[in-house]
Amino acid sequence: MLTMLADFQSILGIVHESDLFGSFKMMGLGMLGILIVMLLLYLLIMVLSKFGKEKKN
Amino acid sequence: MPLLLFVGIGAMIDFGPLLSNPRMLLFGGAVQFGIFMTIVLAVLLGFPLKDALSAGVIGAADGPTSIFVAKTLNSNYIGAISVAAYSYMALVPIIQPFAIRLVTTEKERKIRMPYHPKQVSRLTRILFPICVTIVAGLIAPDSVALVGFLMFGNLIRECHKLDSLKETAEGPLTNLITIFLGITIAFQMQAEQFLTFGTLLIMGLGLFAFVFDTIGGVLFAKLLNIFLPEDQKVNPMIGGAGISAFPMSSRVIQKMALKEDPTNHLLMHAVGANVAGQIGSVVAGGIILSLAGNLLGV
Repeated sequence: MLTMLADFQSILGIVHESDLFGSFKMMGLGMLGILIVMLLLYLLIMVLSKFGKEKKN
Repeated sequence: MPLLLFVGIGAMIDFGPLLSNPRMLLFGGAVQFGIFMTIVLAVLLGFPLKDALSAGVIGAADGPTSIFVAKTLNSNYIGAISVAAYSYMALVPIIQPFAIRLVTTEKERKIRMPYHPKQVSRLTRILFPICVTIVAGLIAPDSVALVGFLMFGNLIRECHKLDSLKETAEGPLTNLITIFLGITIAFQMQAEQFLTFGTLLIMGLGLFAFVFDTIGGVLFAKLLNIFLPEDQKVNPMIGGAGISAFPMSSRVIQKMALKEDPTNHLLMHAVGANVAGQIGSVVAGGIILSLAGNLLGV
């Protein structure tokens, strides 16, 4: 399937197969990375909230 | 220079609504989907990868991030990207209602979300910017400049010991940097470079990015609602508030909610999602820079 897709002409110039796959790779890894960071920050806030409450007590 | 602007932005942001309702972070992340959709579309239109990545970051809805990424990637369209980023941020009150109505029903827009604020300790407010910088830096090292300056500005605000620095950061510094940035970018907008078909496409991509940011956030909220009990459902419009156009987007969502139901106040939820989007956008910019360098050799 990888070899079926070749470079093709688009509005602004030639679309390279490597660039297209790179953009999809970027989408997958980028969204995964953002999700991981946001989940870590969520856990961080939970820990900080608990730590802040205990300190108050 | 764009990084210095983040000091001022950080000094203006109150993370309280986010810290008392941390699940809004998920919307701040989901909304960045528009960036990556735009990158794919830009590549399909024939833009080289570095220009496609730079155009995609318009979807971060954050002028300094867009300029920083475009400059770092040495994009040929930095002028157009800057104009698109700032223009569409100003057009959020027109773009978002249209995009939200496209993917939601009246019943969904009327979902009520009572607000029960939790007390956020001063220690939490001070530790949060420090810890966020560490976490973001470990996951995506290229984001530490963006995140670090934003959180530094916020730390100046939250420590309550540096009032003159806080006032300088959120006032004169921000205004000065905005003027210098505008003049610097303007020098790169020579007619032969700016008045091209590529610039028009960049403007179109910017609009696409903002629309799909909003749609991405709203659809994520609808996806969450499938798993949430009836009394804890999220109004999908809150998903749209996750873009980084602060505080415009949260005001738009509040207005839309009041239009559907004059007793349904979503402002504080929207503000929580909006500030989460501020973090999400700089993290997205940093991740794009990290991946562009390591993965794609851009």
